[in-house]
Amino acid sequence: MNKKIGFLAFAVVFVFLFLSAMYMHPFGEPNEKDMDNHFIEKGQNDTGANNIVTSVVFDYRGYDTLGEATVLFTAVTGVAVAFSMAYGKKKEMKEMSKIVRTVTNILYSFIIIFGFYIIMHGHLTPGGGFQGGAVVASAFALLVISYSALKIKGILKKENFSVSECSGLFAFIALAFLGISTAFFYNFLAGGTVFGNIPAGINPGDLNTGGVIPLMNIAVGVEVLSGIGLIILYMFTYGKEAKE
Amino acid sequence: MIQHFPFIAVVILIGLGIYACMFKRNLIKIVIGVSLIESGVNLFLITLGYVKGGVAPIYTNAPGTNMVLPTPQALTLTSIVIGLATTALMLSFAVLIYKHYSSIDAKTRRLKG
Repeated sequence: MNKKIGFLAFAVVFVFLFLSAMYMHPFGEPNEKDMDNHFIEKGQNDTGANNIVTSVVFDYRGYDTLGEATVLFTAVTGVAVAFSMAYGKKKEMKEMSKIVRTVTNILYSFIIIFGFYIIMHGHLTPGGGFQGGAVVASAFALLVISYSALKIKGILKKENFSVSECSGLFAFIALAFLGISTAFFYNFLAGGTVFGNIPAGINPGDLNTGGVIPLMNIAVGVEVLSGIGLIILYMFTYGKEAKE
Repeated sequence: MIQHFPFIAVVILIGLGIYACMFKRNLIKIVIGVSLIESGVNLFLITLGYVKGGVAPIYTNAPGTNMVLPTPQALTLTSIVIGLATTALMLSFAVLIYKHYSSIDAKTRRLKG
């Protein structure tokens, strides 16, 4: 009986969703474009960044990104608390074969460099702090699973990761506060000498643009790479921590 | 019908996610359902902002100036990172529950609610 009512409710919700999909505007013709057209036309002039998505994320709607960085920080804290509460049997993780370890030795530095490239060029090409941080953290995950978590303990330390995560978040908030004489999240560097060039139209890309956006990308990148690195370390090593 | 195809894909993704959340008893499967709903919402946001023939809103060597809307893409970026964080948190809670009750069945006596 209970299950029948559940199926009925599910069918009603699904039909409602399906009908509202049929009444959407046609694909490729958005209704409201005024704000986005303003961003596309004035974005380069206002923020100096070629990548309009990054200028929306870090400049026009910086409050959203602040909330997002805080949610990530809180979730990492929650994972750390949950895994330090979980006592359990110690399960030994085996290291993988020699082939995997050799390939890891060759690849992981390149993955880290590629991640920092994505972070640094966030205002010019697709990418930014969040994506580049995730790429760097994937190098840490590769290191942890190809060697065992026990052997990697001396190299990747949770204490260092938590310090760098906190400093990334604080640097982001401090950069937002530095423009407080005009407004919170004001791009005070655009038009100056450091990262201050203003590009116009389609151009090949100049690293010295974007105002505070590259600096915010670096701060967020450091926060994300150490946050995801902390999640990886806690998920791979919790049994061992509890025993000591 | 054919213009609405991306929206129908969104509906199917979200419907599968809601189905998994409502009728599956394994906590890991419920987490998978939540991530399916999340992907559906991300696809919906991206679909809303598409302009016919548009290119990515990046001026570096852009092939044209007819660009897709940047704000839905920025919001999707936000949503993906939050989804990652919440998925990690939900999975760690599943691990805690398994350690405590030796079961991740949502219908066990103590977890029923």
